[in-house]
Amino acid sequence: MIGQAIADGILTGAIIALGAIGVSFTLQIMRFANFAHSELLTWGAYLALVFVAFAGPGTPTGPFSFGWQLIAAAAFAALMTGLVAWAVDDLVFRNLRRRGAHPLTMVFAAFGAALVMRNVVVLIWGHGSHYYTRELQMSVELLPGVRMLPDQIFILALALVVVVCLHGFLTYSRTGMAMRAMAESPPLAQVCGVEVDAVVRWTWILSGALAALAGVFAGLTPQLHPEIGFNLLLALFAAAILGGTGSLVGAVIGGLLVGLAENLSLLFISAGYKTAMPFLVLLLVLLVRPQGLFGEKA
Amino acid sequence: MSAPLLTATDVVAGYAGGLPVVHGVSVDVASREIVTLIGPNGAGKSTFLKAIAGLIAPESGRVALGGREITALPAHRVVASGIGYVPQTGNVFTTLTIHENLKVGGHTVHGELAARLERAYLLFPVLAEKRRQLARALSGGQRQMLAVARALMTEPKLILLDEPTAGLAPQVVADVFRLLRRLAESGVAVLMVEQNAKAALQISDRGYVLAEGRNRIAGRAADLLTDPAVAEAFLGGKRVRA
Repeated sequence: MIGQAIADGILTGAIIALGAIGVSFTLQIMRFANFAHSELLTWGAYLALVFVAFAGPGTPTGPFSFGWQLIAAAAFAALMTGLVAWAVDDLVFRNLRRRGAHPLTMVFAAFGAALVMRNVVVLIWGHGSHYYTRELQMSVELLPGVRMLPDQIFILALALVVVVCLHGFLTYSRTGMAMRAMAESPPLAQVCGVEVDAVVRWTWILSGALAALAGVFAGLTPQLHPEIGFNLLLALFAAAILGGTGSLVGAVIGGLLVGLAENLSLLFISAGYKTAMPFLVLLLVLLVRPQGLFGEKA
Repeated sequence: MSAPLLTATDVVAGYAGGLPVVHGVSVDVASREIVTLIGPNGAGKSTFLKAIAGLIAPESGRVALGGREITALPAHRVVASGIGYVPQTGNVFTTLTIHENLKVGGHTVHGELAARLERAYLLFPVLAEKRRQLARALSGGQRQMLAVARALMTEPKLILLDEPTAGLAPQVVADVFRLLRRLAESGVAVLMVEQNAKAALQISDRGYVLAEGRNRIAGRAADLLTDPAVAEAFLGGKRVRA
């Protein structure tokens, strides 16, 4: 039982982590809470659906329920959602930034953007559920009593690869270093020759791409609906805040903890309370370490 | 006298949404020269430096470097034009390693970043020893060294320093001033704001006294040091030896 809950928790956690990285980026680099981030997950999931509608989900490869087309669809969705995130910034947030808007103004603008983005999805694809593939697959027993679907194992492996690549990008690349510099001090980064607009653009593209992957993965397990991102919104924020505001990839650990807390709680309390778990964890962490697990003391 | 490197003419500047703090300051800096701005708190010295660095856009006035107009360019383009800037506080990235601080300092450098890093470590051996450590582990003086080394990564013609010795121990203050003298001799002009006015003027070629956002007195550093009016108002009251 507990092994299965941990496995499920890690899977949910991986999806939350991919989404939470973008929340953490906007919190630290753009310095506001982007409540529209969840809609990037939804857009990513549906953009992949568009690709699948044209290319088909592909013949199932090996134990998986999909073929290479779905991987191509995820890559397509990542790219397009990156552009969507950039476009939303260009239409909404950039104008506010230029006027020196208060962070609270940005938060309300984000709520507005989220509403529009969510309803455009409903307008185009309707309220109903969609599936990437209707193939059935057999779960495999990883450890005694711990079963996972091959698709889920694939998601975990891919999420891990993405996080490792991201870490490498932030640590070694010129742009990644500029992002970390901006997160600490925008004026100092500017006088180093870092162009703020360029870093902001990269941040949105990356956040959007990661959100899209989270959205596709959420849609694979097992279906898509217009609230797919919105339902994860508070978990994303809990994860980003848990990770702390001094570390761009702290959100990954935050995401895993939130996922584990949700699923382990099922062992003790009814499923109805599952979504309250992230907040309980968040509350406890904020009481003990207000700066988050990996955050710097202010 | 040859044409100055930096000419700032009648610069008016202030923070967004507020009244101007600098009401028309003019400052020239020739190459290889050390120029110090002194004056009471609130005279607009730091604001003037920020306006030159491009962190705030001047409301009017003109700034040119080597004859090229750079007025109101954004900060990242001012860097590219050949000006380095070291702010007073928060002048290093504490969450980055020393090596990363220098690399970000060389953000606009393409192709020869490795050579520039090597040169920085040659100039500041203490930074080389600690290159893998986070900048927050450095002492106040070492931080100042890193901040200067970081600003030098772009090989600027002019470096702006906002109170480079604030909060440093007297021995370290002397180190910083020696470093600035060495920089000027190697061909980098220095324009600094200093509370430690007497010591700063002693290593400077020229100085400006600002008050209430305007030029008050200007002249050779040695003359300012012996000017009774300057001494009375800004050098601690007593007349000082030249």
